[in-house]
Amino acid sequence: MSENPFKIANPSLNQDHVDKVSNEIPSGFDETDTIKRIEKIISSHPLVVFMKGNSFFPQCGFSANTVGMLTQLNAEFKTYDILRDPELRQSIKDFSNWPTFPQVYHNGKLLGGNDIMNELYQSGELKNLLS
Amino acid sequence: MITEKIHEILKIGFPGDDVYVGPMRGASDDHLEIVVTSKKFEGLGLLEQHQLVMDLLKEEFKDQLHAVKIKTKLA
Repeated sequence: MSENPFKIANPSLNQDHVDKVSNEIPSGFDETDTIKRIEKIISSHPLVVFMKGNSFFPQCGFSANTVGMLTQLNAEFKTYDILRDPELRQSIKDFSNWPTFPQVYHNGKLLGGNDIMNELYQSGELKNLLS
Repeated sequence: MITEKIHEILKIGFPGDDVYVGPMRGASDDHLEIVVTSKKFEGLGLLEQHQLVMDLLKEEFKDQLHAVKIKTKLA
């Protein structure tokens, strides 16, 4: 397979895959409520990307890379900007057992983060999976 | 340094296995490239393989570590 055209030239320029525990989270939020929201989102579309920013303005090189590959494959997908939702951003890390973003959900199941997407893209598996 | 710390953590999680931890090219120190070669990956999908590695680094992601690039190989 050819080299992934969306390789990030300089990931350090994209500060926001950083995922420190944010202090924006209001204390005492209802986690079961957030989990329900996550479940609703991942069942609302066969392909959902939880990312920083959106397809048009990704706020992180890794999120940009994942969205780029999906776009390249003409995949139809829905994005969810976790930067706008501190509660969900925190909860989904436990829900997915995955501490970073992006997180790609396919048919309601976690497919992986950007590295996995890269591997699946390069092996051609991603194309098969989405067709 | 964070690179050594992560290496140590992975060595404990994957005893006797080949573990590489190095800087991510063109990125700052809190971005690391990780390669783990282990028999533990046998029979696991890519996601589960990466999760085994990510799981060990959970605490580090809350603090010093920002991003990793993971490559898993079957020993």
